[in-house]
Amino acid sequence: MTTRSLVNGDFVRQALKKAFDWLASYELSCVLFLLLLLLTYLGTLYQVEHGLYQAQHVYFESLVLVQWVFGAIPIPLPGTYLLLIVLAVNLTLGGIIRVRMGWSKFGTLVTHAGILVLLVGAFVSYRYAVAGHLTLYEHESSNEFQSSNEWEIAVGEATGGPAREYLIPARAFTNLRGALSRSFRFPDLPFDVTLHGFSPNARPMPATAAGGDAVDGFVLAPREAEREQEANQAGVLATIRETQGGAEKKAILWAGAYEPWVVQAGGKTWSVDLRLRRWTLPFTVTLDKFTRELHPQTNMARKFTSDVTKTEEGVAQKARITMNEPLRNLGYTLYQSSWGPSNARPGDRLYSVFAVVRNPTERFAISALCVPHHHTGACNPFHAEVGGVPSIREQEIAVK
Amino acid sequence: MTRIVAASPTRKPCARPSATAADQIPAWRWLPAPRNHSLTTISWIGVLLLCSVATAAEQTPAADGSSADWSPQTVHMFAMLAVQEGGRVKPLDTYAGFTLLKLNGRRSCTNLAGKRLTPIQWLMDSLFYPEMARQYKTFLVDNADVLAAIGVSFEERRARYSYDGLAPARDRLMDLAHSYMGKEGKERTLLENQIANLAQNMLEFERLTHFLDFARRTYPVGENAALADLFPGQPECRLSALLAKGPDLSKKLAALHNQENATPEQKTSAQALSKLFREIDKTSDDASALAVFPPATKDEIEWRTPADLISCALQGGPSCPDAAPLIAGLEDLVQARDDRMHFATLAEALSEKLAGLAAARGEYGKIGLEVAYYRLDLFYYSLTLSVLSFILIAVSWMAPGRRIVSFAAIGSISLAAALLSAGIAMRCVIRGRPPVTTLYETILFVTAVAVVVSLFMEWVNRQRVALALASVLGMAGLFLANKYEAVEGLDTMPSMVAVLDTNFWLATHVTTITIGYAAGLLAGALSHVYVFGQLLGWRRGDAALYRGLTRMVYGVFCFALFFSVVGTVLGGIWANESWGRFWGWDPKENGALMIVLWQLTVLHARTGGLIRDYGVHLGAIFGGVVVAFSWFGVNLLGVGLHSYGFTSGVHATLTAFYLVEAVVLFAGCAAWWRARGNEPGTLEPAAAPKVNRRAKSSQRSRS
Repeated sequence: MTTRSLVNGDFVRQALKKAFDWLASYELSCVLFLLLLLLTYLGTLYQVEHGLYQAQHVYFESLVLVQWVFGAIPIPLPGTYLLLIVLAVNLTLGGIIRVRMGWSKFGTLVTHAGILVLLVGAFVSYRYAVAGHLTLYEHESSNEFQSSNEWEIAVGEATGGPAREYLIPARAFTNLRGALSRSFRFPDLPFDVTLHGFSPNARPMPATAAGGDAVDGFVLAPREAEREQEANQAGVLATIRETQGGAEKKAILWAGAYEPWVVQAGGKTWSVDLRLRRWTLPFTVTLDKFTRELHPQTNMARKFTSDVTKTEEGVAQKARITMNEPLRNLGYTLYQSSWGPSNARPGDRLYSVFAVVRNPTERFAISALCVPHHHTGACNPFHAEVGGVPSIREQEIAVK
Repeated sequence: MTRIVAASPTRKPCARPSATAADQIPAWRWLPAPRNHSLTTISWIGVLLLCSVATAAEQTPAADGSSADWSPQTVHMFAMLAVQEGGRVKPLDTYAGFTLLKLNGRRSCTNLAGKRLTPIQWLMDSLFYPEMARQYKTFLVDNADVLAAIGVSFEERRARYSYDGLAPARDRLMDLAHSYMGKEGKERTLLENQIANLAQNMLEFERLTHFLDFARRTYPVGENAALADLFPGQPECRLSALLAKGPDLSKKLAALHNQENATPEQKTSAQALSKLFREIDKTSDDASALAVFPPATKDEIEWRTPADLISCALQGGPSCPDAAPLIAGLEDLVQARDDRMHFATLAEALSEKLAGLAAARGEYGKIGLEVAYYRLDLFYYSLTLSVLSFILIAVSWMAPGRRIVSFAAIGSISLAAALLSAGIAMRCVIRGRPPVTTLYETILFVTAVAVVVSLFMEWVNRQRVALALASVLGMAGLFLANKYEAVEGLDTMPSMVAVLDTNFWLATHVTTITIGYAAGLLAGALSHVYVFGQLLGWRRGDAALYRGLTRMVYGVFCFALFFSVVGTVLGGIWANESWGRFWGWDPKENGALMIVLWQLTVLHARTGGLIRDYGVHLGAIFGGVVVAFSWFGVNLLGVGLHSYGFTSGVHATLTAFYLVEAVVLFAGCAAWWRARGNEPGTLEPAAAPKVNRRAKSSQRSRS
């Protein structure tokens, strides 16, 4: 390689061409497929011991991971997230751009384009979809739903009614393990909050039993993560320091607590609550009646039906949510998910649990497959109900 | 148009059900012993009745108590009775078949005279001659340790034991089972599960043998002063007589209990009446095994057992005015058990009445078809024909010139495929569902698709390889289905869980993905022929044969990929509709994805020239392993949302399959290594990638 060729850009052109060839090659496709196959297999087995959430976290949403063989040999592997990004590039270059245009290759092009749509949909969904659940007893109403696994800390005045809340998102405190701490300053509040010692699953224990940072004779004792993510009860140690005077108060914030931490500062009463993340719906849902039908002579459910009233700008509308027939409104979809109490006797008041999803790519899969859809009746790739979605309620605060 | 004439228990004509209800009973004229429902075939009724009378007159229980010997007509009448069990209305014949399969490991049993009994005959013996049925060797106990644990001596492997033989160990068995059932399913050992299963089977058998206990006894009413006005001059009476006066009895009991300052006589009467109610309760507890009585009103969905009727009648509610006559019908039957002619007449009357009630609710229409389905046993004949076909193909290989043998083989396997398809179609009609809704049905459907596609390939290729494969796959698939059914011992047409209750997605996603499974396995099976052929030097010089095999595998692989991809995406769309997410990394979803990824790997590697014929074939064999993992393997993990597909009985079979395939792959790799450099490239001209001009130069530079 001479200096002249470098100046002329031959080296760059050749390097780019080689990179293009490599990224568009069958060899890369095969390696990607095999690695994805391996990760899917390992992630599937991992679920048995560690649950779906952990498996997703370790294998399917990661850029890289370390696989331990026989518990002793560490093998670094690319994560599924990284592999899918490279696959999208490989597919675009090799399966769409480099393929000769013509009717004979039309099928190949459409297939690859369809898979690309799925991958893009998966990416957008992963980044921007919101999913949680809403639990309602019969005759109860709500316009809020909450995450199943994402935490937040809400700080606001304890008025006993609606009040403005400051929210600390999970990403600002879930990495505060051990002595690592972070302080949060609120413009309108007379105190700062400092957090440290986060644990994704913990229990408050008497200080003598577990040691560590004691608060009122209790410490936050970390526990093994539960197999089902929903069973984890996160905890974090919180200290508030009044802006004027510098008085400090400490507490253990624990997700399993019945009540938030209530504290006096600046002559007012405030609540600090570690809870599952919440979102507001642009309409209110009232559960009128929940019905659980069983197949006769069995305990097997035949049908779960929730009769609800959807109230939007003062206009009430009846709707029915059942398995395979969700309620779609303003970009949100409510699915029949669960019910309870499981030990309810005839005549007991029941509650219904709805999975609530706002996913801008909900219809991507149908467009990728381009098959008639039993709701829309036709292939309509642009049917996604994204209009009118309000912004998610989240007032992030300055991190000091 | 078929209509029925309903008859009262006393054989007096009564108003027949409405035409609409009656029309729902189809005329399955081709059944071995048709019910005499039809007015249009009224003349046959007389003939049949005469036959039945003649047969019944000849057939009486053996004097030594070794055999019940029911007449075929009576047996058929009971087979056609409808019973609600496991969420659906089914023939009593079906219930008997699966109960006996669960207890005995097969659908037959031998009575004391050494005669082979059908399931419905066994059930009738258990109901009407329990003292005889308890001596039948009904319980299959495979494991000597089970018997050792309960203190019974082991006879031989696969031996059956009678209830009376196990009865001395009953208490020990129940104690052990009770302690094991307190454990989590995963924590129980195989032995503990087997002991618990044996205990459950014994309890189920007891429920059947005690089912009609209420009809075998009478209740004392003569000594009770409080009942003197209701049953004057009767020392005792049947339960139906008590039920007929159920409201009066309840009122009397309430009055006696509420009476202040009761006299000693009144207290004695109250105690005697309470004792009578307790006795009725005790016997009626046993009468809950079979829900054979349709509900009184259209709105109710739960069929009633005799226990329900007894309870309802004694409470004096308005919803069971027919309780006393229905219970009386069963009592009459029990008392007439040794008089075959009278028994047949009473049974006919009762079955007519119950069929009419079920038909009026629109729940009797498919009973005849289901009885026919199990009687015809199409899958058994399909299996037999598959075996025959394979034998004929083997003969044709030994005597190549005999075209008649080849034609006979093609005819056999084609008929086997037709019978298999007919059986699947019958199941669809009976259930009103698409062909695949359970794991058992996936086996049937995969077998059918594999056999039909093989026959199509044979039609194209005419090398007799696909034909032989069709026979082998037919045999293997139907044998597996048979084994799965026996291991599970449960109704293979169960009710659907709520999320599966959608024919649209069952017909699209499930059917499509199952076709993908079938094609993936078929490609793997075809590749076995290639690998073993190369290893053993079979028709070594026949290049056309091996070229044809490779083309077939490649074609089937593409077919499998298409259905796997479409099926997987459809599954995602269904998940989005039901659970709110397209993809959730659920094990079953992952299994489908693994199939797609492996098939993509092989096809891209072949298209890119990274592998040649051997690579494709070994890839197809490994693809079969991936399909097996996705199909059954992930169900053994016991996690995920597809909990309705869990199964535990296939672990050993699946492990054996993995091991055998590992050996085949190893042998194939050895053959590949041996043939390196001389490996054929069958697909090269047809499947070489075409690239555009820009890509061509880059390819050249790469090479």
